[in-house]
Amino acid sequence: MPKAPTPQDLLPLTPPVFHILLALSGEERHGYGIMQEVARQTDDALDLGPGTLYGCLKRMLAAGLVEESEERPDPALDDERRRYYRMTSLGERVVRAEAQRLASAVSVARAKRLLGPGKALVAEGKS
Amino acid sequence: MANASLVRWFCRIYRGLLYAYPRDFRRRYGREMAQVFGDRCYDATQTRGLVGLLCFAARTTADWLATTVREGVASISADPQFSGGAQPAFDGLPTFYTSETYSPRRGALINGGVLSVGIFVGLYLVMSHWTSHAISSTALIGSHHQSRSHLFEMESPSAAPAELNLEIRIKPERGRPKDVWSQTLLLLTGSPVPLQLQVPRMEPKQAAAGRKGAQGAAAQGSNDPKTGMKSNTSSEKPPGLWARLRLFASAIAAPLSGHPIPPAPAGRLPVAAASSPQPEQYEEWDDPKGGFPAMYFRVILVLGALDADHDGIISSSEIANASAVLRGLDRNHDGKLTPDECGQGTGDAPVKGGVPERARLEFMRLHPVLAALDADHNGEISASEIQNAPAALKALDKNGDGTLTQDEVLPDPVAIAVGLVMRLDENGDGKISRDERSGELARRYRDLLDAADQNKTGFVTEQEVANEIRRRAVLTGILPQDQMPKTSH
Repeated sequence: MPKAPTPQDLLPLTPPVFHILLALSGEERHGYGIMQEVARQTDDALDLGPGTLYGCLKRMLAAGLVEESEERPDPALDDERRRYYRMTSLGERVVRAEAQRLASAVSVARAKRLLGPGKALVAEGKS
Repeated sequence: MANASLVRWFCRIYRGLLYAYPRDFRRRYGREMAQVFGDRCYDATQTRGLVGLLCFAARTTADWLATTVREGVASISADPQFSGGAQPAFDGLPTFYTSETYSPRRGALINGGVLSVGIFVGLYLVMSHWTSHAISSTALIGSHHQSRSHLFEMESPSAAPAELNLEIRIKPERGRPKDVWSQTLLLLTGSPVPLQLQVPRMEPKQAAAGRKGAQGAAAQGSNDPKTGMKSNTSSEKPPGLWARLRLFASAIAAPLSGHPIPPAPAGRLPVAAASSPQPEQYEEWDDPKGGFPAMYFRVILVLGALDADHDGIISSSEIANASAVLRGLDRNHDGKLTPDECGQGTGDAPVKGGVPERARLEFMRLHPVLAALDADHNGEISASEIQNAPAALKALDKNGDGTLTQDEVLPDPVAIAVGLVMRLDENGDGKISRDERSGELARRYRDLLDAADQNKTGFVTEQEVANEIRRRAVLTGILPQDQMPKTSH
């Protein structure tokens, strides 16, 4: 019987998958909501197209990183035809492991003086 | 609102485009994708107007192109339960399942087929358009350059870096010359056009006869005090087709080494023309459709005589009458035909010290008709060989139609090219030495000779020349691949 994959087996994640998981961290979202959240997280640097988004969701559903929520929104508040997605526990462990991996890479970059203090750099990038 | 109407149109188009996705994927996510697309369209219109909408549509098109291919490929890959992936076996070694029990869905096959046909048609259109431009007359088929980024280290063998800066280009098939003249020039110089030719000045009567092709050749130039010829220089107009054909045909009939493309003497036309100077024949030969074969028939006197009706074909009746015609060429009435009487030296200056014996033998060997008639290969067509001429000529009739067509009598361009180059071998020792390679004429073939000298000994043997020319002939498509010499590069 095949062994269940560990988070390390699924690393590294592609940027779309990583940001989709980040968008679903702590909150269920539908496809359009995920797109908006990813754009917000990345300052519009990552613009997911519908094909990319749902292709990633299909593979993430198959891998058990996300699942479809059974709950439907209140028709008065949102379109009831929308499907909501939420992160599974495996997805959470995977996104944590990926964030840790990226943090390690950032530490190395800082140690090599390739990266300054985070806030200053962000401010510089925005300017 | 115009933009709202545009958004509705875009949404309809996108719903149609969704059919390019695999059916399962479309059924599961198609409605959501269309809904998200519509939402994003309205968003883009609200925030950035028409420009934003168009930008989003363009990005979505790119996304659609990439993801349809990806999902299509994913749909024909095996499902997990039918996976061909490795599974650990009891002994730790991976095992692989075969795909015998799995076949792609019909819809996936249709999608793949349509996609493949579309790609092939697109490539065909692009390539046919691309190769129709003169600027793209060569196609890049291979390339190697050193990495400029040095991001990837590779184990480099012993080859020097400079040797790795190599590009291989090949000319398209349709650019390959098909006549002996152009093929020989291509083999010798890498170009089907002569590098530079000396063109003789013609007497008015002769110039009038050959004016169509020789207009450029008879242009202004300085008189050579020794030969009395005008030679064209790089500043003058290039010689016309007729003049170039005449010079080349004269070259392959030239008796002496050292003149790969020799000039004809001033005031003298080729013997065949001088002996039969009827203007109507000139006009006929001057027909561009005649090209090199017509000129070849004129220079090789035996062929010109055999082809009594000047139609470029030796008919069965002309073959039957060959003996009588050949006897008519025997100017000194000694009962046999020497190379001179067959056309050697046609159009060339008189030879000081006579024609070397090896040049006479080479002349009789290079030209298929003469080689067939000179059965004992002694450099002459004897009385008995003249008597047997019809049978000898019939041996050249490869297709057995009873006539000799041009492709059956024209010379082999490889043999002609080798013969022309080996005329640099002035002392006749079978090699082209350093001294023999230092002349101006040899410099025209410098690339060829350098390539032929594979063992870098400084001299080039006839075999090396033949191998190099044969190699070029294979690379340019004149000869088939299986004729590539084994000792080639």
